[in-house]
Amino acid sequence: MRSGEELPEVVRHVLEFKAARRKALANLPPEEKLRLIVEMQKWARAAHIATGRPPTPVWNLAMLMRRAQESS
Amino acid sequence: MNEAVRAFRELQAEGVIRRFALGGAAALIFYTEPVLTYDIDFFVLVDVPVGQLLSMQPIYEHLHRKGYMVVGEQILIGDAPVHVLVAYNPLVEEAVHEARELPFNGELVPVITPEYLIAIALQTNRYKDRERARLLWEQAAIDEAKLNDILTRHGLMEVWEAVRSQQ
Repeated sequence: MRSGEELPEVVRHVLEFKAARRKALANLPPEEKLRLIVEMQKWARAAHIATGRPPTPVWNLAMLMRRAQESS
Repeated sequence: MNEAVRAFRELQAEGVIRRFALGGAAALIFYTEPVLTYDIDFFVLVDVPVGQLLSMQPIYEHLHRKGYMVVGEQILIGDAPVHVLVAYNPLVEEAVHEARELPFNGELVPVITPEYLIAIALQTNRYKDRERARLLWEQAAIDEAKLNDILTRHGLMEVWEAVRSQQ
């Protein structure tokens, strides 16, 4: 596909869906977004290990929340 | 996040820092879709007596006394590494001053506003910073007049126009 050519309907549909999905994600509460970041960290770690790279960190959200409650 | 904020409020109450605010990718969760990050950035304002050099030592010492592990330049709060960045120029100082208190898990967190996050990203101007600036522009509720004022005063309008023209 050359630059400037119109995208097929099916691709445009997927892109529109993704744009709507991103908008929905942006409107989630910050607490839920933090949980999603930790999920992304888990995927990134798994991908690093699977491809023989050093593992990347994953936050322990449960521990963070527990400690926050304990110190309040 | 809440625990980190409480630790920094203590630093503020004891006069170790003057103000602080959440910045970087962690601040984006208040305005945009989440983006992958491995650390939490807190920007702080500190009072440095005339003739003295700025030292991070009092901040680290205080947090260490409170039982937090200091690893290099990071403080581990739970498993989350927190970076402390002393406001390094007038733009960042202003951003910390103008931060808003936003609710998170039932408590208030001082967060840099999206207009200042865009300006700081444009000033840093790496690829991922330009992407963040665009993300904020697309998804956050931006006060355009305020953004234009900040960008004009800090000489960032040209960079912003270049970033926007790539969209």
